[in-house]
Amino acid sequence: MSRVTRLFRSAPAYPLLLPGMVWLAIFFFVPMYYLLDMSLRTGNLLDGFNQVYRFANYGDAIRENKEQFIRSIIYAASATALAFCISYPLAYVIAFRGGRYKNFLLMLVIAPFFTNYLIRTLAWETILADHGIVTSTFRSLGILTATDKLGFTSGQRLLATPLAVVTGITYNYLPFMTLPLYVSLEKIDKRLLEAALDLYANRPRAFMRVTLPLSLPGIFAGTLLTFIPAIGDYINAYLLGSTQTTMIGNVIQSKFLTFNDYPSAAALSFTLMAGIMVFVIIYARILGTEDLA
Amino acid sequence: MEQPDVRLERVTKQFGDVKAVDDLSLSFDRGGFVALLGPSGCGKTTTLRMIGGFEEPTAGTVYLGEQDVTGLPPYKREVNTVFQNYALFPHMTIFDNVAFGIRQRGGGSKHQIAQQVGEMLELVQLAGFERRKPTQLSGGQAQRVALARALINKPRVLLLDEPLGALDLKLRKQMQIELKRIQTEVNITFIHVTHDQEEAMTMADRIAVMNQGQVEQIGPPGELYEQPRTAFVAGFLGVSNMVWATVTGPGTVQLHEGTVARVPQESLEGGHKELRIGVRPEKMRIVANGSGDGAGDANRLDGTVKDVSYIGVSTQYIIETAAGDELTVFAQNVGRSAERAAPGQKVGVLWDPEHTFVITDTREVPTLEEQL
Repeated sequence: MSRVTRLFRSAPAYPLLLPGMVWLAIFFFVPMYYLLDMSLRTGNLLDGFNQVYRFANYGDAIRENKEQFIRSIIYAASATALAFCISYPLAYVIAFRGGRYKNFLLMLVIAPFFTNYLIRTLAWETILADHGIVTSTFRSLGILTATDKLGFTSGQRLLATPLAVVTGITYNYLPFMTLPLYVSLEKIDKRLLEAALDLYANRPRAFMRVTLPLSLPGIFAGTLLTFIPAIGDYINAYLLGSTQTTMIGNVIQSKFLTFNDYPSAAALSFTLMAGIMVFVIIYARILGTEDLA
Repeated sequence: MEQPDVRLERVTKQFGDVKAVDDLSLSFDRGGFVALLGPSGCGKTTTLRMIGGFEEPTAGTVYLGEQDVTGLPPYKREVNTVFQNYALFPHMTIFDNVAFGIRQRGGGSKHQIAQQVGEMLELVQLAGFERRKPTQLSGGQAQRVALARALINKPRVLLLDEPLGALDLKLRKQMQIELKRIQTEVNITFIHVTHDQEEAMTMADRIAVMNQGQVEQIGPPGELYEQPRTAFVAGFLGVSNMVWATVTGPGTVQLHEGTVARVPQESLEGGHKELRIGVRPEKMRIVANGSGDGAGDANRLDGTVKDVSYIGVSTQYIIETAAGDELTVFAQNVGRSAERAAPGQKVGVLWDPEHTFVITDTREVPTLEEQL
């Protein structure tokens, strides 16, 4: 018996990993290699890109797009925070009070996904339009004056403002926050809460000491599943924003598709990815989720 | 006389159309160990949860000592619970689990808390387990932690909801003795819910047998066993032989197939005419047909052996009487096995009048399904 077959016999799980590994290799590692390779070249589409190992591509790309990087982080973080504030109570109510309507309520949460992403975002363009009912109501209530002052909106409009972009991102990624939160809340044994109440914790304290810590894995998964795609998103900024709300995703998109500046687009993509990776590692350390799972 | 620790006054709890607890009045004395015993759905757990504050009664009042606590949330009641399946906080260490209650009440310095937790873990024989997580414990250890976590708060009353249900038989026996020891040591009122009659008898000094939301009978285990007042209690606690009889005079009844039996006089004071008399199987003895007539003032009933099963310490006989009643008799295996009666043999069954109990209610004995 060869070594390999023996390994497979003693650990029947390995062959099951094979399809995933092949997928990862072809569609992740190989493209990653080409991306990295491209990010160090110079040239243009007509004459070709020559490999010169120009690491300065990174410095240039980051320097030129610092503003968009920072904006992306702020928008993605705001959208994640907003989604969390909406999702936690929502998931909590479905998990603890949903009763036999649980599945129906969960379906409602993902119902928007039945519509195409682009269509959904375009719908928001209509909702937030200058002469739409939302904008005029907000305007007459003086809300826009306040948000203008805070810099969330400008010129008494909703569309083409940071608020519109963040709202769009929040809306589009909300289920990615709600579902993991629901799963972790649903798993909590209700008797643990009774035990906390029995041991002299009132309801807010029981929540803080038991429910919240036990839902940490869901908070961790939900925030990452929202934040990571949100930071690279460009559709919302493209459809609901203006030149003042350009995110890093928009820059990468235009460099790749409009200017055909592949090396600097690749450098930006790589930087974004590395940044997210570092962030995830730090975040995991802070939340200490290894302990919980 | 001292005030009872817990008092339920005409408490009713309704879930939809179902009355889980029906006009129940019950009081628990300070420092006692009371078991609420009954089949599932008899309302024992609901009763416990109303004392703990997890359910509000539909009607009636719950008192802790002098205080009316009806409507108070659990965290405002001087009561702690050992939950079924323990409900230990999985994200906390054993130390933090046990310290939870005193911390929530803002009790003491770090040093004081550590000392109290240490004492408690020692009481339940788990010293040195402070840093472990609940998932690293066996069932018996988790059970002890749950106990320590409740007792550290020095509650007025400790509620135990089927605390040993998840343990295997051997561990259960061990924990029964352990619980009793701890109860004596801490001298706190224990109210213990169980469907296991043996568990209730081993630990409790008073048992309340519940059925359909009401208490059938409450008393020390011996009294309930020797003098059950209802067919339900007689059938739920151990095995009972019960036959219908008619009262014929002071202390005498006539069984339906004609035999006259004597019973304790005071047991007939109710003035009932038709009733059932009962005897526990181990209180009966078997004699060969035609002999043993001179066995003093014992009652005698004749019948045929239907079945004999040897179960080690004793032999179980099923005797069919002339009236068609089946009697179960346990005979201690003190003699040689050759002396056992064989199926088909005609025998006499003897028992002392004072071992006879009288059941005046007319309900059927609970079936096995009802007991589970």
